[in-house]
Amino acid sequence: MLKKRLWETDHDLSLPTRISEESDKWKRIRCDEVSQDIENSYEDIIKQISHYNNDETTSIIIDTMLNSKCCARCILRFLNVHDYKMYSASEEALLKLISRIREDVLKSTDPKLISSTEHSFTEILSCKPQDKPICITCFDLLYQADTIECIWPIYQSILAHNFDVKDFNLSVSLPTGILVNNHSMIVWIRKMCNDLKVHCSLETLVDLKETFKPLLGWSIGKQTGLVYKGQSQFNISIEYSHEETQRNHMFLTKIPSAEFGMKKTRVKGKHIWTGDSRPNISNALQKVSDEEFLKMCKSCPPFSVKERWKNKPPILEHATIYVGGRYNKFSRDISQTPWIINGIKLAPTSVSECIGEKLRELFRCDDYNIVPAGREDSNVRMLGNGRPFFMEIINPRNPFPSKEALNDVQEEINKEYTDLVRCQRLTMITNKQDLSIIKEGEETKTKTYSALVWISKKVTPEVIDEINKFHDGFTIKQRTPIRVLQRRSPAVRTKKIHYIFAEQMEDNFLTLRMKTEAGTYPVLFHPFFSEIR
Amino acid sequence: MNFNTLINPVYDLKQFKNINEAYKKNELAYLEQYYSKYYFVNLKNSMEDLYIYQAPNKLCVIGLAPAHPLLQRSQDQSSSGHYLSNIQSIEYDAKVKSSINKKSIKAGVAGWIIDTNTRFEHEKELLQNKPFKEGYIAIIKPKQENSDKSLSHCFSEDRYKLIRNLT
Repeated sequence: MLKKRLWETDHDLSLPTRISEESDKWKRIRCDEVSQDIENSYEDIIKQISHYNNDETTSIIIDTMLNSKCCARCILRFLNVHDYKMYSASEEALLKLISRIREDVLKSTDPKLISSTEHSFTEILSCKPQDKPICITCFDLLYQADTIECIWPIYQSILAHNFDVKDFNLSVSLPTGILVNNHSMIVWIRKMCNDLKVHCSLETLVDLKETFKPLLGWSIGKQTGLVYKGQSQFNISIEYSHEETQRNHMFLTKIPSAEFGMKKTRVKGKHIWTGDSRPNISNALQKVSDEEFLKMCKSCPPFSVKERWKNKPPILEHATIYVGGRYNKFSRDISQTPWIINGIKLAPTSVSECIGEKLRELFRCDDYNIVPAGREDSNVRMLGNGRPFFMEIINPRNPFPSKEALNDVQEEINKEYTDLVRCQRLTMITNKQDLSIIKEGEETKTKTYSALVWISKKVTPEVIDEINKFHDGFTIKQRTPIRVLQRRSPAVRTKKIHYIFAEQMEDNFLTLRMKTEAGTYPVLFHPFFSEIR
Repeated sequence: MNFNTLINPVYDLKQFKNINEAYKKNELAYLEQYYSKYYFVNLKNSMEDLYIYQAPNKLCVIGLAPAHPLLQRSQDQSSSGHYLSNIQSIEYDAKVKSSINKKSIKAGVAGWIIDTNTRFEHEKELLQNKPFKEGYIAIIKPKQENSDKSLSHCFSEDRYKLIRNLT
């Protein structure tokens, strides 16, 4: 298997800039000022929350999570606040909001209460970010979603590769520990409710990814000027991990009702465990009852964590784009695509490389793939108007070259490979449906051939006339040539020869020109092992 | 490359002078350009040798070798009928290698039958008249891709001619 080609392995990227000061890591890139909104929309928020949970449950949720030192954004998630813009407010503003909610629900459940004290931990949570205890339900991912530290790896990558794009989409993969910890918190809250003889209405909460992605997306947008939108052709994927908790779902294997099984398999000589994908863990958690969970899970309520999240290098990918054209092949020494058997190059270069390498420099892509309308052998020339083809351009950094730039590349190809290959009518293909024209061309269009033929007797005008009697065409039944019998079935196929014309040359030679149906093998025209009837 | 030559290509016959001479001398010379010729010598039975022409994609075309009794002038047509009926048995035997039943034929190379020559149905004389071209018997895909291993028991054309005293 050939190693996957990447633009960065062959070319230098721009150098990264470092975050100048530690304190800069905690700076937040905010899209709007939402603190005002919170004051104004308090009534709406309270209405929303009460739609999901009764007042007692709400107060228990808040108190339990504050006791566990969860971040304010996670508390909002458990309260089912679905207005994602709210989450971008500062931790301080959100804690104020939560305190206010807490006061209101406490008053409503206990009307005799005149005033209540603020929860002791709100102090701790609004301290300096570096000193804040790490949230156990998001490992500070949600808390830091809009900070420079979180955005920086992505921002760096975009600059380094210099993608010429206007929008982007995000794919995010969160640590597996999040699943168990969030479920653990739900179970714990329900237990607290039961202990206080309160009817617990907590059933759903807002998924972490649903609030994390918009925050991250808006901040990247503000930092880079790109627009965060779902239909973008440019995708940023980033995977987050948390080593401390990555195996805390293993206890599920000991609970029969979870139906959670893991298998040990061998990959490349090493033993690894499979079966613990995120969907599998989610499903297993759903099947476990609260009692079983409390009994078997050690971390309920979740243990405090010592480390924050980590991220793997982000992967930036632009969707494949397509360029079409026609090519001529003038040399009998080069192949259509790279011809390598057992590591040895059998032809010095190929049509694909002559055109593709130059296109790679223009589009700054990882790799390319030629898709021609039919094939020809190395020792056959491709003349006339040329064979239609399109080129798949994989992960281009420069997806929108100008018409002039394309024409320039075409001229460069034709100049450098002037006796080998010629490229014509190079154009961007904007409508993906047009690509099927190429495959149709291979299967339905007629092809015109010119061949030099040797026959076993001297060529005379009579011989030529005999052949030219069939000038207006005829039908043949052709068996699959031995050359391709390993790939195709040994069937007999009827092919139409539309037109044939012979011309005399010296000796035993003549030239034959013919127009045939697609899929005819003209080289096997001369009966060889009776491949033609 | 001007426009005219794109539509009307030019062929330089000087390049093909050698081929012209070679083909004129030996009708089957063009085969050598593409196929590697091997010969399977049947030491047990009387001279029932086979040729094996291997294409670059490893597929083998097998047929009667010059020393085969069916190709000797003295043989009459009827015995070829007996031989042809035995060819039917090849069709059903996926791995033609050893013969338990005397009536089946050794293929000369271990492998799977891709195709047999169906022209024998209507043209029974083909087997004896044009054994090296249109009268081939079958096309086989060898079990072993490596020719050194799959055809190690066979001989080159020169050695074969020596063994059987042919010119």
